[in-house]
Amino acid sequence: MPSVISFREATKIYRSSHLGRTIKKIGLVDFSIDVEKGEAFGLLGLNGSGKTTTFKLALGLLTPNSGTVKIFDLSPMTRSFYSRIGYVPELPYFHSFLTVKACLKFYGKLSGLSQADIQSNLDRVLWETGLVVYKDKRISELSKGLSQRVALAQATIHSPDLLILDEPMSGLDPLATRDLREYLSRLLEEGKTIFISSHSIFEIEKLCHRVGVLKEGRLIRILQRKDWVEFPGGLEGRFAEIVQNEGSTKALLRNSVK
Amino acid sequence: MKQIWVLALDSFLENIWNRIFILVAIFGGLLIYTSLLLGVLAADQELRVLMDSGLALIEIVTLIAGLYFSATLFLKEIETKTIYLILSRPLNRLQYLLGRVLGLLLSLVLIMLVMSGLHVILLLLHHWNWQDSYLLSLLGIFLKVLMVTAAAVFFSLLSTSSIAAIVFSGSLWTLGNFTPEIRFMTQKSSGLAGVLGQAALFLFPHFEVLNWSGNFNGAIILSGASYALLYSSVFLALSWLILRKKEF
Amino acid sequence: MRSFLPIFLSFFLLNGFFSSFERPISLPDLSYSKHPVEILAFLNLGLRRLAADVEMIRLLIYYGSSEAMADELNPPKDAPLYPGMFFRAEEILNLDPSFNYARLYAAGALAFSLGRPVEALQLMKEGLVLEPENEQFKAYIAAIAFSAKGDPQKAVDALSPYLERKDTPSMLINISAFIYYRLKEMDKAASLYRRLLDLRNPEYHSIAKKMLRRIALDKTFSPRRKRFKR
Repeated sequence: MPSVISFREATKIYRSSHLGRTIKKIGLVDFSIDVEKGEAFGLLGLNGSGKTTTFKLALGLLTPNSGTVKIFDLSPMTRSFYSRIGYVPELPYFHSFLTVKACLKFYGKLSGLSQADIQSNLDRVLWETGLVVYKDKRISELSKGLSQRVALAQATIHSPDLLILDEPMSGLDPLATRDLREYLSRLLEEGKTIFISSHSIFEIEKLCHRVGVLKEGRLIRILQRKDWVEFPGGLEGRFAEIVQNEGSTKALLRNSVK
Repeated sequence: MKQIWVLALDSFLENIWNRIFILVAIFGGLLIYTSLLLGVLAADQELRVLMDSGLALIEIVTLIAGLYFSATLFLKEIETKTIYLILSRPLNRLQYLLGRVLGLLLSLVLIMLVMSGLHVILLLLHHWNWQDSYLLSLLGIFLKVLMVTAAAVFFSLLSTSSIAAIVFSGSLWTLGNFTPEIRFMTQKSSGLAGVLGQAALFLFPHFEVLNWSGNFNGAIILSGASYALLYSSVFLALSWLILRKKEF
Repeated sequence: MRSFLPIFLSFFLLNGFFSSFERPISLPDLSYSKHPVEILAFLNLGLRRLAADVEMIRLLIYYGSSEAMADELNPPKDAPLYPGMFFRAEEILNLDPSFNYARLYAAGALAFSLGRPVEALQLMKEGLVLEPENEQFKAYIAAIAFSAKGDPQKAVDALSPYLERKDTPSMLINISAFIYYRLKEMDKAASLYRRLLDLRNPEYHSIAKKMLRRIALDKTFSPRRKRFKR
């Protein structure tokens, strides 16, 4: 059975011109992973390590300079499978004048849902994300944590098979974080696939089956659950150990870019 | 088509909510001030001046709104990451472009309707008799703004700077209003000046073909409208070519 | 880039083709203009008609000002009153040749108030070149000629069929009414003064009321009336 997400030596180098000089910035180098159906795969890395670039490549918002990216065994440029994806970007923005219900209906319609499906899915998703009591509130009246729930609700209103979540716990209080994790666990039980990044290592540790560690655009290690469960410092300890011990790869990367 | 309409409605609502009323309020204030002032100054020609200044204000306000909406449309969506949420849905980039542009045009139509409503009330208060040519003038204004708006969408995607987009498309506006004079001068010139003038006629838009306040007939209106629609379509096609390959 | 090329080409062809539908318009002669930059700004914004309107308002203010001489640079001692009248009117008509009110107003003022029929005729002849069938223009030319020959009766008779028209300046109705009054044609004069009162432009309302009172008094104490009383 083909993987839900498949990266093969995907490389993304950002190029920008300034005063006639082309500046190159590494996004991702030779990135290869396979995420299977029903799996929760986490990406860990410091800021600028390439997590968001990975997600954008998966969504076709960026195209790789080399290598391939496939989602449901298709190129992200083939838009037919996008109704099977739900995406939460980091710190998303919603029109502040919309109510929670109107906002979710908008994304439901964009996802191609019929009027009847929108109504039934809306009730479900409002319930699951704990937004029922806020459904008639305007987005502008919501706290950061509630906005983040709206972000998750818009990503799941069309019952996607794959969730791509970029820092979904950002700005959430501990209780909201726990609720979110529980919600994602339920989705996993339903057989959904989750591709997630977060600075909250504790949540990743509890949710994910596997974790990829990124440093300066390079995937330096893929950890199985047993790799951190049996480790004294847990995933956090493993991550710190790996990132700190990884020798300076900058010179190496520069060479590979050239 | 459903997705295009959903996006159009979203843009329309956002524009109404955020900005349109401010523009219309400014227009209303300016219009009433102008009418009071002109009542004193223009003597017998109060009605003509009120008509001309009102239409000019409608044109300028719609143009400003069109330039602002179109130059910031995609850049704001990129900045707020809304575009990620939309492009990660089952719709292609052409649908996205058409939806957003349609929403923008609906907003402009609403602005024009409200402003011209105010204008007509003021004219009727000055004992103006309704003329169908008023609607044609409005259509001409809308088509002119449509052309510049389409250009602004293209420039905003090309330059990724809303200020540059406003400057480029605003320049098109002024140059496009000057082409009858350029044509006149070209006819009288020879040599390099003539060649440059001729080149300008191929480069700049021709808004004069949409000025239907004087002599007009069905053929003139049809040719003017086809020009505006084709011209805008060319800019939208160019915008799509950029958007198709654009990385976010 | 390959897909951009045909679209750019179609853009040029489109502009080139539709430019032939555009009537060429001469740049207005701004050498005598007092506000050339402002007029160019209006033209750049496509507001040619409004530029003409603004210049017309300026002409009205100019003609309404007793210090009209002051805005002309170093006027000679024997300079005529409102020396800039003709050039200001020409400037307006350059901007909007179909602005008949401006043509009639300036020609009327030049011919019947300022005694400069040559300039007035020039304005009207230019109008006739643009609209050869315009009967109102022809009547004005005749009226200007009669007035120059010192025959106000014929001048005002030539004008009278057109005084009811919307684009006739109130000033001309006022002048015509006064000529009728001087010619003792009180009914015609009164009718024109009443028309002035009906107009929205209040400029001549007080003078019209005053003249109507005077006409009423004149009728009361006219020799015929006096005879009747006796």
